[in-house]
Amino acid sequence: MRKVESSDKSPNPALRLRRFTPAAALRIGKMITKFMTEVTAKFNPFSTCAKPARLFLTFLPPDVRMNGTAVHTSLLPRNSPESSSLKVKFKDGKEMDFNCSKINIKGLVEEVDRHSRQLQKAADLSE
Amino acid sequence: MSRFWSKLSRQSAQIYTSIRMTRILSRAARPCLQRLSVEATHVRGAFAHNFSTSDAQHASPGLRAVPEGVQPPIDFAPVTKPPSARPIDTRKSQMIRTYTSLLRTTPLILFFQHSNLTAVEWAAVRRELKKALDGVAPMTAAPGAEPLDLSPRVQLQVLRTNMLNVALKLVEFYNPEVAASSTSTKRTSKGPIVHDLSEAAYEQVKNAEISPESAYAQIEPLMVGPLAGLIIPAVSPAHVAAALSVLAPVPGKFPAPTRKKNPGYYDPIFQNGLAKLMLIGGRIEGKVFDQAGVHWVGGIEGGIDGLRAQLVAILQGAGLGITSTLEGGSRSLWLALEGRKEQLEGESKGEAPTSS
Repeated sequence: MRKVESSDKSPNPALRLRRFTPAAALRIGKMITKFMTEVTAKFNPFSTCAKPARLFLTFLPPDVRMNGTAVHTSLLPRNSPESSSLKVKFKDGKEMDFNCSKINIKGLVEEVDRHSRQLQKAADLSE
Repeated sequence: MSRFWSKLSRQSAQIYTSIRMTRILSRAARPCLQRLSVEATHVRGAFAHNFSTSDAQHASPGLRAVPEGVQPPIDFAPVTKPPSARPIDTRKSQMIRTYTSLLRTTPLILFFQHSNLTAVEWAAVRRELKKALDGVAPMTAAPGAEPLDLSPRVQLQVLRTNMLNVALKLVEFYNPEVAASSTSTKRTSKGPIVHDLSEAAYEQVKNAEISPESAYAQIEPLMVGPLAGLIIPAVSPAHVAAALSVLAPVPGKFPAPTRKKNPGYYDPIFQNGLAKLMLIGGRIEGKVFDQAGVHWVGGIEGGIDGLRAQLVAILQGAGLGITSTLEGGSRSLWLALEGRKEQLEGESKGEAPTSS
């Protein structure tokens, strides 16, 4: 049981302290998905390194498949030693390949967004 | 004079009504008071300091079963509201209660990851699931029992991952009987406080050592991200197969319905929702299964009866094996003895001519 802080008892829910989680922090700024053409996730759900790949899938908006991004997921069997991986292809042809045992979800989104922002800048200038 | 009389009569009428009211009230209250006084005399010995409206038979066992040197009962706790270590009015606490009872009673839960399904897609997924399950024949739990239609009780439910995680720990590592016999557990006049939100439960789970072989350690990595559970209230391979053919079709084994048979399955809304649902594992009778394991359970032909038939076949095979082994032993013994006999006979024949 976590001891309830005094600020948690505040009647106004907006004033309550929220526990800081990376996912909550990331949810404030959405991931840029409109430059992705293909996302391929491969993971073994029974290993801890599946976490970044699984969370990355939840960061994709509900209509991502309709907006021209192909999403492929494949599950590895439970006893496979292979670590989970994530591949992202962009509209300019760049491919990113991540080994999820080395990176967390925050890092993943950061890496992907960095390239997306470059593409966004180029698209804004060409308009 | 007449005014005096009228006043007097009015006063007497008032007095009369007030007397009547008190009499009615006292008559109404009499049985309750009698009951209270009887109970007080009965129960006074058991808890003079702890007044309760329940009768002595129900109230005292908790006190009588108290071992030596335990904490005294908490007086302020009403019986319907035992003290809780977690705040009871929050959604999370009530979720823990719901999930522990779900995990204790439901033998078969399949876990799906759902990544941002919209409400329309959820509705479509549930509609197709219901359609598939309605086609399954009712299962018979035991031979001779009345067939039970499970389909309306199968649910696809979104679960709160972190609360489910806590509930899984509680179900596996918390033993209320151990907590009840412990001296440090708090007690009320009704007995020790050992419910799932109690301090005893919290302490036991916090101090539990999670061995890598335990079911919790195996299922723990699954508890990431948004989870939904397909809850089937009995182990029925036929229902698992029907649900898998819709939610996680495998060509050949659990084929999706054809476009001709079920056009609703090829509705783009449903297909979009299906793409975001992913089977990641299952918990079947307390054991943790991965995708292949769930497929195996779904593929058991004929359900429990099929398993029984398989077991019978195995046992029959074993019986045959045993008889042949036993026979083989005696046969070889017989052969050995026979050989020895022939040898002895040969020797005696060989010796016979010399002696005679």
